[in-house]
Amino acid sequence: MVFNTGAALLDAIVLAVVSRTKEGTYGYKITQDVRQAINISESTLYPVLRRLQKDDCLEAYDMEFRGRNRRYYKITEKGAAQLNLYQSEWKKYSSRITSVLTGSYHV
Amino acid sequence: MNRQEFLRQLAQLLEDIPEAERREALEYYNNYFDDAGPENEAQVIQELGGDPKKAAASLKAEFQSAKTSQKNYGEYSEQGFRDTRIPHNMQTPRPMPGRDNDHTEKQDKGHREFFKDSKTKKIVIIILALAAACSIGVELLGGIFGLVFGLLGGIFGLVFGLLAAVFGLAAGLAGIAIAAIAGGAAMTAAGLVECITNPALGLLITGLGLIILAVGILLLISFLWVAIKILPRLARWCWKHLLRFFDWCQEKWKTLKK
Repeated sequence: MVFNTGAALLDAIVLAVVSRTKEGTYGYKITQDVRQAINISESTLYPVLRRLQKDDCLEAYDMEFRGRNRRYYKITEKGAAQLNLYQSEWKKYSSRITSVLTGSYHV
Repeated sequence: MNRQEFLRQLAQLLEDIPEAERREALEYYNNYFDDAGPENEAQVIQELGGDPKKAAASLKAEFQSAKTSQKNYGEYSEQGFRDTRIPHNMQTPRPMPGRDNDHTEKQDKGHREFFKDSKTKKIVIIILALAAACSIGVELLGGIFGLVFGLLGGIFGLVFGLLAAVFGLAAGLAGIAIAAIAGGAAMTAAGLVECITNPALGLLITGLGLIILAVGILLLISFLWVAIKILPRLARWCWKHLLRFFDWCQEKWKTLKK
């Protein structure tokens, strides 16, 4: 990837991925889903999840899965609001960049 | 390196972060290996960078930045690239103080010396003559500009005139309506008084008064309808078409330039 993914964009992608399943999703699945959008190393995702958890954007809970504990992440109300903000900001930002880069700029 | 080895080393590397955080992180990676499945163990370790140093480093970096509340060092925003570690005033190039002043001072001095020379006076006269010739062209250009601005002004005037006419109509309606209501009411009252002495004439006047009153109320209602429904819609319509006209002008200007 030529373009960097900043912390805010990474947060936005993770929030979007987690919000897709209402009952929450787990670390391995999140990594696989995020990787459909950006090439992220596995070691970068955990700190992001941890940070979002501390910022009350995600909440974690453990659930039994095939005789072992599995940690699930679920989006909170604050996280949903944050995601909403990211989505509208992204729409504006990406359309500006697209119009400049592809030259289809019109007033 | 296998999974056990990886987690053991990670635990070692994370010894200096809080106990609860370390446990959380190890739990996460343990979970991760579980979900990836034993057949992917080697692949996961490879993707994690071959050894736990990278994972530990990124986690510690996150801790560090959480402490100093700096999430990332550099970012692109509408203000351009910004490095949060460097104070803001050190990043944008500052204007050079005094440079422009020096420049104009030198120019002024140059002007004075220039006019002392009698030879250059002739050149100045020639230039002035040329400038006069040019000014005719400038006037022509001015004429064109005047025409364009005049046309634009005319269009504006038309739109605002239309709005004003509607306003006037509405105000007139309101005036007539109020006058009719007041007159009708007064006439009705006078008619009722007249009934005492001359019932036939009194009833006639009362009836006419009531008719005028009714017409007044009808006019008032139609005024309110114009003021509330038609006027805002008309104003919006005018504004929309004005904007569209300007867009059209811009488009034309662009194609002309090409």
